[in-house]
Amino acid sequence: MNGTMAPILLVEDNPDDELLTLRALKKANVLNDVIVAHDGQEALDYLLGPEDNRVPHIVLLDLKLPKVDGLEVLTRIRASNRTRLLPVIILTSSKEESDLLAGYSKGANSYIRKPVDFDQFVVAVQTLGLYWLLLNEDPPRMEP
Amino acid sequence: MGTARPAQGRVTSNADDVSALSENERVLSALFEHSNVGMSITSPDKGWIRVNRSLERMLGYTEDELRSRTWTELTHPDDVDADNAQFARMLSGEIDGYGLDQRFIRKDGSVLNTLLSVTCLRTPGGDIEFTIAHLADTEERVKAERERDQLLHSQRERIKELRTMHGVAEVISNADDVPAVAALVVELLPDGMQYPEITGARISLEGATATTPLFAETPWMLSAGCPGIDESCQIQVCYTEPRPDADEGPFLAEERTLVEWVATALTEGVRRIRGAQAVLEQEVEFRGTFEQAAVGIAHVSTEGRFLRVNGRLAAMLGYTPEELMALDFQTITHPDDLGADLELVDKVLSGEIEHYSLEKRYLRKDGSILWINLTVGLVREDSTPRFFVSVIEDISERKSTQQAFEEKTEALEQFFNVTLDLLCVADASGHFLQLNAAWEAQLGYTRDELMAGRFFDFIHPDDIEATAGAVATLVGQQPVMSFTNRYRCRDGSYRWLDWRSAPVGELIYAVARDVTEEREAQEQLRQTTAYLESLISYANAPIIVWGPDGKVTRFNHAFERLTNMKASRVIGKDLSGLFPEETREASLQQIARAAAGESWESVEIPILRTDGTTRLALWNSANIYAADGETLMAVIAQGQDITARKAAEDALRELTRSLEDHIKLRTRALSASNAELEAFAYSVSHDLRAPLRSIDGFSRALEEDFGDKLDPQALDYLNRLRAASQRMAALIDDLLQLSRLTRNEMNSQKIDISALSEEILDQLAQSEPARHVSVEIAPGLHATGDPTLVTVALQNLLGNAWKFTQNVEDPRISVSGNITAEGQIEISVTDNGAGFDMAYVDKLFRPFQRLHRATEYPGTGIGLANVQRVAHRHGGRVWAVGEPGKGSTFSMSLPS
Repeated sequence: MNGTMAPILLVEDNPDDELLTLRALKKANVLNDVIVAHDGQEALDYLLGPEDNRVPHIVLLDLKLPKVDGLEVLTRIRASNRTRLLPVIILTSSKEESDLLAGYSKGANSYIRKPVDFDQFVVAVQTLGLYWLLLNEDPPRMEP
Repeated sequence: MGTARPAQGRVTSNADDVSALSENERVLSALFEHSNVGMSITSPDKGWIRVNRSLERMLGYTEDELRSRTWTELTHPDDVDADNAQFARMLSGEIDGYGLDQRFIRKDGSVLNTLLSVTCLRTPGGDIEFTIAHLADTEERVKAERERDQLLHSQRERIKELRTMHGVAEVISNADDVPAVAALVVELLPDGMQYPEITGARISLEGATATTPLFAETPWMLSAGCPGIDESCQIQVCYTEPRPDADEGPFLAEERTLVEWVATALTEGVRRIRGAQAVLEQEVEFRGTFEQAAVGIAHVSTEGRFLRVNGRLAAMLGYTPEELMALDFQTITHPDDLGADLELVDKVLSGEIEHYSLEKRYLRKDGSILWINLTVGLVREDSTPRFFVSVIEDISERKSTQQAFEEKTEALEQFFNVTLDLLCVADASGHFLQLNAAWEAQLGYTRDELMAGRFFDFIHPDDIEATAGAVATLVGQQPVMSFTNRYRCRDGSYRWLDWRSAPVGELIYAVARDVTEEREAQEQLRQTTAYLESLISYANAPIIVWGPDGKVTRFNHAFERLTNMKASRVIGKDLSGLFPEETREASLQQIARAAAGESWESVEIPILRTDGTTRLALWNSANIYAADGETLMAVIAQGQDITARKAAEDALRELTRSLEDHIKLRTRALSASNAELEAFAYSVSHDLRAPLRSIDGFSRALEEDFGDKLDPQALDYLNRLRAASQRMAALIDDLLQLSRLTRNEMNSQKIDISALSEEILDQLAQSEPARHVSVEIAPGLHATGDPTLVTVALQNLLGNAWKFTQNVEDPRISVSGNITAEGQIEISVTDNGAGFDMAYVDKLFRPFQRLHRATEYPGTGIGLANVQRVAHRHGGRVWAVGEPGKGSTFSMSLPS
């Protein structure tokens, strides 16, 4: 693991999905550390918590989460000065129009539906990593 | 040609001058021989010595033949004496020559008229040596003279005849009787005679005799009878002296003809006079009638001159008949009346009318005016107008009555004529004496036309009897008020006139008013009233009328049925008896408000029946006001029995209310179920896929991480696990879509079907770049609908076409459209792919129904169900036609 690389924050409550996502990231040769939050609250605690917490490079956010759901997490991320420019990629099962609309409306940078076919999922994660972690220029860091 | 007289001494005997003589001789000889005049030298005993050629030609003898004859022998016996006498005078030396018209007898015996000139040549002793005779042919001259004499004679005859004829004609025209004719003719006769020797004439006629003073019975008389007059009539002409040739000469024959002619003329004249006398006798009889007539009678020439007038007419006019005869009718006609009269005269003359009557004015001799009634007829002879017969009736008395009246009322004339009422003065005989202008306006006649006849002529035949009765009342000096009859107008229609009449002496003064409109209005009103009466009585709706006092005045049959009360029991009673006690007060208040002028429409008022039950009626009422528009006269109300309707309405209202409750309940349940469905769909879309992902993902992990420890059958099972999970995911997606198509709100807008089809097919082509499909899209196809739904439907249709043509050699897909009469567009997608059996066409659009095996053509069997759902949500439909192995056409109708 390259300690200098900013981590990826994966917000995922389903352990199967967590495992499969990590596997896909690995297969896609994404080398960044992955911090996993198992519900919305945990994600927020990490992002808006102690300042020595490492600011993630990107957030992979599931929508349907216990306690605080994904959209609420997104709203709070965008509401905080520290995190308002943080790239947030919604990674979820649903492609309900209402979810898409709400996600983008609240400031998601991307919306990716998790395919059932694992091979396709790996391709998706690969593409995502290539784009967000390598090609995309990060927004300037926000100091509190 | 003149008489040649040889100059004395010119022809001399001079022996000394022989040569000169012979020269002279030659000239004379040539002259002698070639002269056109007959010349001769004769002896003193008239023997021819020498003659020239002209004389030979004239007398027809040669010179030799003449030498043996004397001229006396050749002279016409009648002329010998005269010639001898003159010759003897010449011989005696009394004359040297002479000239004579003398006839000679030619050799052929014919007579030659000549002018004979004779001169002589004397010896110095004075004896005649020889004579020279010239004979100039005067045949032409004598002939002309005879013709001239004959012409003169005939002219004289003609003049004489004319004089006589003229004389006789004049005599006859001037004489009144036969003796006078005779007397005049006899005077005339001698003048007409050729010979002055006629001294007298006598005519015996009808026993009378006319004789000229010098008439005497002599043997030399001519006489002629006039058998056309009578046997005794005779004309005699006497001559004073006898003429030797009186019996046979042509002149006597002329005289006789003349006398006979006079006799004929006389006969004619006498006949004429006798005829005139006979006519005169007839006329005397006629004249008696003519004169005795009580009316004036006149014969008037076509120019207007009086040919004959009777004494009555003359007396009327103050002239003697003779004075009148010298005038024409134009002169005595009042100038103002002349025009009308002349116009009628012209009409009679032209044959347009046969006769005419006219009231007009004559001017009497003293200048006063005479009113007459003139009747004129025309006497024609062989269609040529001869004269007019005029009968003149003195109507001055009637006129003066009228005129006196007119004068008296002159001051009232203005009133008379300005009033709109019809005013008239009439006499008991039925004549109008005066009418005002209103008559002309009302009836269309001129007043003259109305006054020409009797007023009865204008009255409706059905009203004549009543009118005569009214006139009788008036004649009885009783006024007649409010009498009505009908007068005929010029156009044939009738007007009702309402009369007020009063007798004044023998006259009737009357005022009439045209009440036709009122009568018609009354009649119409009566009919309308009758109509309304029956309308009210037999109307199906209950109708009631009451007065301001609340008492019922009218109660129709329908109201009787409503209340089971007889009208007779209600009319005159108080209105309040009709209402049930519990609502009476409220109803009466409503009615009071209506009477106060408030509108009262569709008010429900219960009515009491005799059996104690109540009927509910819906009422309209109207107030009826007097002419002042304020005084309430009556109220009319019309009701409608709505008892049954009301009950039905109540039931319906109750039903509606329960239904509404039911619907509210259902809606609540439905929205709850809808919300549940939402939540379910949401949960499905999030949670149902996660396990599938795990199955697939860990199957894959198993394969990857432990693939070397698994046998091929285990690996196959893992693949099946993955395939099933992926199919399950597709099913879930389609199901979600189906539910979304049902749930989502529609957002209708115009959609370019052609462009959308192209876009979808492009995406399909990109998904499988290796495939080559011919695509044909009709341009300009548009539909109106929700873009999301329509896109889903088209994606399904085109996706199917794409999918089912994957095994065909030359795949073709086409999109076409057709606008229906209902304004929908039918979009059809046709392919030449796998097709289907029409036996299963019903199954096509049901969810999860498949006609092909999934291994052959992958799919969930929900696509066409989605298409159908989209079509239905747009009010359209779907259908399909196909044949296995040949292809299919799927159609969907949408609003265009």
